[in-house]
Formats: sequence, C-alpha cells, structure tokens
Amino acid sequence: MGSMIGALILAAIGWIVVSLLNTWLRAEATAWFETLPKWIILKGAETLPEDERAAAAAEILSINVAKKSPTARMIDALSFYFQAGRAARALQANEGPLPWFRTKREARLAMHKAAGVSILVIVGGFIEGSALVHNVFTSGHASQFPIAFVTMLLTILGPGAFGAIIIARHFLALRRARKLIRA
Amino acid sequence: MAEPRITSQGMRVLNAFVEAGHIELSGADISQRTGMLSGTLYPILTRYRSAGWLTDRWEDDEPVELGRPKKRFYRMTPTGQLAYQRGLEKADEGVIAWAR
Repeated sequence: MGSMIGALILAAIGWIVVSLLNTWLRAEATAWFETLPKWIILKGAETLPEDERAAAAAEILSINVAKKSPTARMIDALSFYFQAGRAARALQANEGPLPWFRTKREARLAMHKAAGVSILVIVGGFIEGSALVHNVFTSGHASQFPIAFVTMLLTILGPGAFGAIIIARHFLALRRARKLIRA
Repeated sequence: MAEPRITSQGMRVLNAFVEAGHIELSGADISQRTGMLSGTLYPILTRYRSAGWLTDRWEDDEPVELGRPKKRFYRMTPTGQLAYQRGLEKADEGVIAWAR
C-alpha cells in the first residue's frame, strides 16, 4: 500500500516536471520562431545596397508578420533570403557596388592573394613537419613517429583547409559578381 | 532603365490591383491575394516601382504606435495599367502562361 502511494506521488511529481518542461520548451520554441524569421530577413537585407536595406527589411517584415502560421513565416523569410537579395542585387549590379568586390579584377586579385598565402603556409607546414618527422627518426624515438606524422599532417591540412575555404568563398563571390554583371 | 519583362508572376501582381478595384494594396495584401512569397514578390515590386508601373507610399504612423512594422502601400499607375493590357494580349497569344 505504502509503495503504491509512493509510486503515485512519484508519478505526480514526474507529471508536473514534464508539464513544466513542456511549457518551458514551447515558450522557448515560440520565442525562437518569433525571432528567427526576423533574423533571416535582416540577414537577407544585409546583402542589398546600404541605402535600401532598412526599407527592404521593413517591407518584408510587414509582409512576413501578416502570415499567421509560424512555418509559413519561416518559408517566407527563407524565400527572401535566398531569392530576393539575389534578384535585387542583379537589378542594381550596374549601378551600385557588388556585395564583396567592386570589380571582377578586385575579386580575382583577392583570390590570387588568398591562393598565394595558402600555398606559402602549406609549403611552410610541410617543411616544418618533415623536419619534425626527420628529427624523430634521427633521435632514435621511432615509436613517436605516428604522433610526429599526425602533427605534420595537421600543420599542412589545417592551413590548407583554411586556405581552401577562403579560395572557395572568393571563387563563389567572383561567380556571383559575373552573374550579376550579366543580369 | 529598360522596361521590365511581363511574366506570369508579374501578371498575378498586376491582376491583384485590377481585382481589388485599383485601390492601394500593401505588400502583405498582394502576397495574400497572389499567394506569392516575399522572395518572389519583392523583386517584382522593385522592378515595377522603378519602371513606374506602381507608385508607393509608407504608412504614416510609427511602428511603436502600430505595434507592427510599417506597411508600404502600392498603387497601379496608368503605365502599369497599359503594361497589364499588354500582358493580357501576350497571354491571349500564348506568349506567357497566365489566366485570370
């Protein structure tokens, strides 16, 4: 009898805790859903020319808040982020500066610079890493070879990956610049 | 600026004004009437505004008083009406896939 009462009390406490958690989670989720579309719209507007950002963000927000369903608001905000910014930039491509670079030449120069720095760092990492591996062998600590090898790889791959990301971003910006100029 | 190309989506926007009786419509109203998302609607409104097919004005009251973002209202101009007529002709010819 006593254990049954104990189980009932535990179940009641559990139910209260779950209810509280549910309320808290729902409040959190609602708060996120309220802010997220606005954040996405503001991010999308950031890609527009400076003098248009505020007006565009205000207009899209006014369209967005009129939608009743949170999911519809999210889809609407995302559609602006992915499409409107691009299309509006295409319209102004010949009038205003491009998002990253004013000219294709600037974009190419930035890319070449990034490639040069990356190659330099990778070569530096390789030389340093090779020296480390060589030292491990010559000092008679061959058991430490795997650690030395991994260190060498990280020294090369770390900056290499970083450089690759920078080059890829520059490349995408250049492609976008070309597309906008054609538009 | 070159005149915008009339597309089926553009016709949906212009038709919203015609169906509403040429009254002022906010972006939200147009979105609701056409079922278009902001991503599609915003570039069309920007193009048509630049081409003089639509005129715009912002709501007078401040967002703090309104409790929501300010609305931008659009009205179709006579040039926009002409563009709509041309769009109807194009739709009749089958150049653009649009039906009221």
